[in-house]
Amino acid sequence: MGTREVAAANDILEAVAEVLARLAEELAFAEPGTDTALLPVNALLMDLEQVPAGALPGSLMAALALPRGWIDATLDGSGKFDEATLQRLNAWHGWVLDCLMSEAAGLDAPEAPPELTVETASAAPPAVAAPAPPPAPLAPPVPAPAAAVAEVAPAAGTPTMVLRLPGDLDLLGEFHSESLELLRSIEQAVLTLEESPTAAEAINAIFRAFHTFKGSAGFLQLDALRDFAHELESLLEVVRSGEVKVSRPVIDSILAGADVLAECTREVGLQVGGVNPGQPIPVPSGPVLALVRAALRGEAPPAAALPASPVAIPVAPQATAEASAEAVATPATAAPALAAAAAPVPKAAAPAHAAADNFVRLDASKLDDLVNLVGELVVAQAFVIESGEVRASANLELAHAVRKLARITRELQHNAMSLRMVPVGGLFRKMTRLVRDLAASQGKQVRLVLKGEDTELDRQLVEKMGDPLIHMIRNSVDHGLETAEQRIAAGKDPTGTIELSAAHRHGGIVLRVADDGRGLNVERLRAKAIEKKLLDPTVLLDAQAALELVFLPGLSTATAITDISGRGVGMDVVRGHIESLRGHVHIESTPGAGAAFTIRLPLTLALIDGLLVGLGDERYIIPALAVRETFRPKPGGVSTVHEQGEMVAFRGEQLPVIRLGHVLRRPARAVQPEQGIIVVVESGSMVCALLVDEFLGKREIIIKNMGDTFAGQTLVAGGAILGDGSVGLILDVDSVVRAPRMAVPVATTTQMVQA
Amino acid sequence: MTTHSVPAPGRFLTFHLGTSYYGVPIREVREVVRLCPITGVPNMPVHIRGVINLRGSVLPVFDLRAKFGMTAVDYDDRGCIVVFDRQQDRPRQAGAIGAIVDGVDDVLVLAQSQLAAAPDFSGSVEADYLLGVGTTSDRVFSLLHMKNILAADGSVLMPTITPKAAAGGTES
Repeated sequence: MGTREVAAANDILEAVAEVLARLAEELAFAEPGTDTALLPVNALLMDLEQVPAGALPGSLMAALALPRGWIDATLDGSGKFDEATLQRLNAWHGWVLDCLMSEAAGLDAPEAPPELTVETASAAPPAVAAPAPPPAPLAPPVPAPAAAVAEVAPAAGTPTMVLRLPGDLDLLGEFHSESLELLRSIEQAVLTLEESPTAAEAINAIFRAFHTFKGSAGFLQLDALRDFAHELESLLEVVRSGEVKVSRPVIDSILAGADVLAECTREVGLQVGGVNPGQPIPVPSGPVLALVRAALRGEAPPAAALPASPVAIPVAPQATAEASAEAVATPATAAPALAAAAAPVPKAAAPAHAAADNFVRLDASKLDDLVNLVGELVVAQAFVIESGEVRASANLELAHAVRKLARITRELQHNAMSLRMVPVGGLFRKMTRLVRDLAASQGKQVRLVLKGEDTELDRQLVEKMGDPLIHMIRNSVDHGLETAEQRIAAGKDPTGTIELSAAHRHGGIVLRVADDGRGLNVERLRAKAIEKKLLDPTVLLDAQAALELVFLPGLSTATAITDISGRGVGMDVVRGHIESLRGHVHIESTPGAGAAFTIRLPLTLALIDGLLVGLGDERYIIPALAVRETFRPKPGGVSTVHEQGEMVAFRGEQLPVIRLGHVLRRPARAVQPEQGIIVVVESGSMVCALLVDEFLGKREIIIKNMGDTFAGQTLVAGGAILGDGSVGLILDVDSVVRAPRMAVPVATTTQMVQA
Repeated sequence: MTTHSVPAPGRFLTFHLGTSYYGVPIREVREVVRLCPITGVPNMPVHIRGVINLRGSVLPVFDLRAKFGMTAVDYDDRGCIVVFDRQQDRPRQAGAIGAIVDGVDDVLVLAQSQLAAAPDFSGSVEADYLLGVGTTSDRVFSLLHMKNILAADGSVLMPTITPKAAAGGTES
């Protein structure tokens, strides 16, 4: 019962929101001294009065009915809007929207803006008595609609803003994606600035971005955000005019400003996506603006002014002052000061706005749908081409048409896939910022070298690799690289280097994070693992296995826990994440000379190369990335251990044989190993020989999510639609090789053969 | 919802398993498809038959007979898969699941007077699985509580999303 009432109230709220949205449209047409929009506004207000009594809280009902007197007065009087009435209507409209949102969110109604409260107190008399001429405003003229007043009002502390969600949803969505782009261009420009502090184009780009922010925020009446962007813009105006030179503090303050904008943008995105809609969003502008002002005066940033990250160059205090002073004085000295801390290796100036006009923004899900459909098309055309009738047909025209179809499909597929591919450069550049902040906060000198930024991979992969990369780089800066003093003492360049590279290899992509720091301390890893009871002290590990201890859950080698790494959630999560993307991570380390993490990933998540294998009457797919080789074992090539375990020689090594049928508990046709096929698979550092019945070919396969019904199922990584329309299961090689196996003594199988 | 309440009137899709007749509220049914080859998935409970290709997406399929502990039969060409929207609030097919039935019969409108609470089988029949019973002039239908049927078995509905499942969720 109760729920039904709530539902009804929600329906009414929605209906009211819709009427208010239409009112906003009409009010936009209204002009003082004319009757434009008067009748529609009147009609819409009458609609609002239709809300059944008791359906909404009394205060909201009263709020909705508030403008009736003004409109009646206008209608009875001149029949034209006057300025005061319009102002009041606009103020009322903003306020009522807020009330509505608060009601929907179950919050207390916001205070009425002052001009309305004055109004309501003396509502009837003036409104009726004064169908008044324009120049007698009852309330002081409000420059911006009421919402602005309400937003800035929460006063003293952090300004906040409230999104007009039901009405502005689409606009806010656009604002969100536009803002993300602006933030990217700010970051890009900052990077350029760090390399060449006089780059006018970069400074202008930042200004344009702040300016655009201001404009869009103002348009959406996100006044707190607008004011903040405005402040940033005007404060930095002096930099643009050349009065103040770009220095590290200036760059830091730009980044800090961008961080606040980014935080607000993120919050807008969340609310548009339905998270806590209507919650006021704080715009913590104060500290940042203080920082900006200090930077412009050439001072060190005020203590505690910073919300979190960028701190000034953490060398000696006097050096900071010197550096910034110099930086302000001459751009020439500013450059080395910047480079010393964490500047990226200079590279050809960013391609700037070169081809900016040739890009189309489109919804990522549309792209995904397209790629999926093309994938279906590939499968469907393969079905046609491989059908017996087509093959057997003597019709030359048909054969020709089929070939053409195949070629076009292939090209289409290639094209569609390339749509999803993006260069890793964007991801890498984020790391530049990270390294810069981390190095600064830890007083280390770090240089980040990027290689292979043009390497393309699937957009989804780029997105998902962000966190693991961040983590590995944090690890490198935190634990891998030494301080300048330590490095000098060890006879190394005081500036540490982290190299982040990407390259295509073996039909996949290889990402590598390498540093020239102290390397992993294998002894300490071991000791830690034993101390945390993660490792049996009697176990002897070879060098590689000892390094892999770093992937154990709950193991952290950091002696001091920093706020970023060293909490023991770390490399195990990174590895899990990478493996969930069907990738692998490999670790190398040379004591005193550095460590490197090499990540192999498939090019795309949507499509994999797979080996189709047969087992009994079933077919399974083994991801090609995990397969080294397939071969048919020679009779007697498989030897047994304890008459149970089997092994086979492969390139001079004995590999354990895993019968797929035993793992999956399904009947297999091959009883003797030589009746089947061995697929050599690798999983991490493990190499195994998987015995299947037959090898049916290599296929490009679109991975289909199997849904949460099979969430507990680890052996199968997904499904794929095969050429004949049935579903094939994609094996999760990592789980298959580690799965418990049905113990079928070899003796039994031999007996079965004899029987 | 308690199992002893009377179901709300409305349209029901009716089907049968052997000589037992069933109905489910039509709004929970997404579609009915002909029985097609099912790919078995290893290491799953017996009533989870596997997956089928439903117009390009992979749909889990379970066997209602096995779920209700009835004897297995070879489904003939009347056999159907009733596709249920498991979670209506989720987008597209994320939560869909198919149930194999012997044959689909009809869509009936059952009025309040034709509906009653499920009788108390004192445990011999899983009461949670029933919404109630519907009666027409010639037949009595057990109205199924699909949500409970699908949720009661932990292996069918696993609310905890593993990292792997989460990563896989965007791949379809």
